[in-house]
Amino acid sequence: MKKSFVLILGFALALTAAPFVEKSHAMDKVSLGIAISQTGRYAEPAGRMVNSYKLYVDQVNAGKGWNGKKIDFILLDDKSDKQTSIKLYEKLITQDKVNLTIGPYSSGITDAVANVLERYKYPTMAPGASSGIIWKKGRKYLFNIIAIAQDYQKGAIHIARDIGVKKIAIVGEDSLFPRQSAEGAVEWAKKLGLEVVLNENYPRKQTDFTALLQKIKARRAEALISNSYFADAAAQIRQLRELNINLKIFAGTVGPGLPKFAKQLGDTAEYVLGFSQWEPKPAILKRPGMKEFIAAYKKRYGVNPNYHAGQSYASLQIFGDAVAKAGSADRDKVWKALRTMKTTTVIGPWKVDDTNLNQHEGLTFQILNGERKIVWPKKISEVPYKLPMPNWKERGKN
Amino acid sequence: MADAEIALDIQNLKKYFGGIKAVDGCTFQVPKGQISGLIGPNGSGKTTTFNLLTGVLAADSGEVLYNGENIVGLRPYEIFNRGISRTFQITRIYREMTVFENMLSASSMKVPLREARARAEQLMEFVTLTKLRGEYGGNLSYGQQKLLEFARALMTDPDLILLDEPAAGVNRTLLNNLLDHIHHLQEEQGKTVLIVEHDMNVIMNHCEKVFVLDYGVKIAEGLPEDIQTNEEVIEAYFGHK
Amino acid sequence: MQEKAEIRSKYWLALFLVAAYTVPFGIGIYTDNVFFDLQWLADLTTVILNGIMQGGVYAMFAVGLTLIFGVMRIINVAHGELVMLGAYLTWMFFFYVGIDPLLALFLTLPIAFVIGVLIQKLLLNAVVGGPELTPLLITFGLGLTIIHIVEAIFTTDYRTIPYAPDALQISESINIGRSKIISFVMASFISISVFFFLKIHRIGKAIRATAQNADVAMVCGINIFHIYMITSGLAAALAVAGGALVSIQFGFNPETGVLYTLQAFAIIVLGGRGHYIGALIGGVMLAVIESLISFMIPNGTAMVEIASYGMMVFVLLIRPRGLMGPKEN
Repeated sequence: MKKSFVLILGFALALTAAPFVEKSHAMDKVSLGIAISQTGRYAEPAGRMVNSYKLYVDQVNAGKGWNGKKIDFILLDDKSDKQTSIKLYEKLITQDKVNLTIGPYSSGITDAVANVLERYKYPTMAPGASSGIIWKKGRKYLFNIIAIAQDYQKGAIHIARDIGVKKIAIVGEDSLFPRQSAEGAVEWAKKLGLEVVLNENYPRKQTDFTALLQKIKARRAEALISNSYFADAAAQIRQLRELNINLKIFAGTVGPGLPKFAKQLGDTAEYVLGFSQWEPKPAILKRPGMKEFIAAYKKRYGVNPNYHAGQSYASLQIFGDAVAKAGSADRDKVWKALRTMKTTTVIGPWKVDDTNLNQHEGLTFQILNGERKIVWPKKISEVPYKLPMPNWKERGKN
Repeated sequence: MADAEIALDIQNLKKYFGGIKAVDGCTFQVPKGQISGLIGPNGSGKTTTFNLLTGVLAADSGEVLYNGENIVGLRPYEIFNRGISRTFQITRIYREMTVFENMLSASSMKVPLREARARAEQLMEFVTLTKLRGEYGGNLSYGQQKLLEFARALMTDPDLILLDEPAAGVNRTLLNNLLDHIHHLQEEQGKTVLIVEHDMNVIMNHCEKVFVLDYGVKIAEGLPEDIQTNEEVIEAYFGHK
Repeated sequence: MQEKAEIRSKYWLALFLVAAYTVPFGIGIYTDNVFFDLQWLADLTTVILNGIMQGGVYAMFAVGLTLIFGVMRIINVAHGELVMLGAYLTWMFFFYVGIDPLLALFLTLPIAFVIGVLIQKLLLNAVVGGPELTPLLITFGLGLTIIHIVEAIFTTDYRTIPYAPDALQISESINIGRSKIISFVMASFISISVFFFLKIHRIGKAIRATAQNADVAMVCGINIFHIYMITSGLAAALAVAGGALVSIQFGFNPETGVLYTLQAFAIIVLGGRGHYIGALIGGVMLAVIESLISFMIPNGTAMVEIASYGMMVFVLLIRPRGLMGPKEN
């Protein structure tokens, strides 16, 4: 019901806007278009991305611009809806005639919009999408920047092997992103010689995991690889404690990365592993320009940038480099530059393969004393991981 | 008898169900302190009239004066609380409540519980159901259910009691028993009783006054023996010839 | 004839239930999810105990639904939303005022009762006794409204209340969450109290009388509109109590109520619509079979919902009265 309402609204918006937008963009500007969720369920993470875009555009416009041209940044709201997003990108391309576009937030919306971008041959950065499947459809114009879902559990499974775990259980919500994360986890387990004793899905909104966890215990799993969001990850770790099931590793994906995970769960959250694309820790990650970016972001918005903010800033950095290399904002030239160039951003090096995938290496962190500490890959780890997790009975006594 | 006080003054009462005129301008006066009968062929509107009098159905028009007050439009429990109580053609007791609970359910919340209990005990004694006080209503025989419903109708000590076919499905002994109780109420306590009944013996032997309905209209009233010979009544019952 | 069909349907239902409980074991053995050792038996026991604990709480709020249905013949599809509302009320008292979730019941239950009375007065009184579709639509609308209001205030974020996180060790390998046990004890206490209220108290008797036959209740002097209000208030209180007990175990967001509505439906169909004890038994039975499915069938957790609603449909087909419901007339 909500969806159709948004749809109608989107139509209405597109229709009313149509006659007025025959803008011609002055030659001394590069127009950059994006439709992203400023309202709806994705508003929070997408908002952080918008923050970074605005920061970057203002910084560049205050300086030399892109090849001496200022950026004209056009920002639209897709209301977290796929259909609306498609309409808005059509509009950006055919009516606003923007020079370049940036992708929306979420894998689902990006996958839908990618078809439009492909049709009009718009080279586009996709910092809001992490589903590997998007790049398995032979697309040429959408560029990946962050680690794909298949690699979210890479670190956790490496750690599991390193501490001598033999049997792992993989569970996940029954939806696109967790399924891909699980698929990747199975691959990595196979590569590293771990036995997957259980691989199951559960429906969205599942809150009671006791029987599933008991089954994991019955199967003698030593580690639980949970391809989950916040609510399910929180419920699982909590119920492991309630059932006094002692595992060596509990690895979530995006859930443990949220500050409220440690806050709401207290000491139950301790020792949990999670995945992040990036953390605002310049002393450890040592990426060029990172410190300055973090400082500028914090100054303007009052909080540290999270990985959403980092990766979106990085994607504009890449665009800037590509425009410089191409010598203009000509889309064909920019596309060629993106396909071949190699550069470094605030979140790390960037170079795509034939399928437009960048090999960004994410990081695995562990919650220790309520803080997220990077523990993998080793070369950028803050502290050594503390695993296996201590038994529940031995906790909370200090 | 002509100047007997009036318990219930029914004026031009009407109730249509779509095109069917169930009660069509019915007018009669129920005398106070007597046992009266309401008869008529099947479908003549007797039960509908009962339902109108007790508020189970809302009348389309007309008046029912009870103690000088028009009770048309009042809710059933409001009418009940004014002292009009009834039983049903097919007994309607609470099958999943015990006999005692059935009795208590008909007491006003305003009556102290102890009083209500005492009253229930007394009435169960009166209809000889004391031994079955813990039995579920659904487990009683039909006759016992009838007694229970009758006793329940007396819980609040009503002044006017409407009985819908008390004789139906009841054996002779029990019926006589029931009629004794009814007479007892009228003679000892001065209650007004209005009975709808098919069993002419009951009507002829126990009622002081009889009203005859046909097609929702009162066609005759009078003493039982007069009614028996009334031509209109005979025609209503045996058809026009 | 009718008696015979009646008895036959009872046997069919019993047969169906036995089959339903056997299937998870069968599939479990077939797929190597059943191990014949002591450890596994302990795990199974844990799962069943958890199911019972869970069922106790579900049963409690399902009773609210059954009460409303029994008394007014109204299917309140906003019941789960009241459960969700209860979770948020508890959460608010916990985080803003710092009141223990169980003590908060002393505040949330009266609030819930008032909410129930208001719902009755403003919405349901107008439609009770009318066509069955109208109250269904009205409560459906009410449910959506509650969801959107809560969403507007609290966003769609999941919330949890950290409460009694540890396990209670029953034996070496059987552990049950403390919060689960506390919830079960509270739910049982509340269910039993309400049961005795209905059984013994005069208002309770009047509620039962109205449920059995509103027409008779009316001519026996019961102001059924008072009874409707009390019933609605009581049902809302049961839902909110359910929400409080759910909130200390699980995360919740504005949309979780829908699940609880469906759960409550499955329970009252199984137990028998309008039947109090039936709902309690149905709640426990349903939660246990859900746990068994999740525990023994591969990918069983994903099938739990299909299984419980499948069960609901089958019960309706075999014996619409469910386990203990009154005969349809």
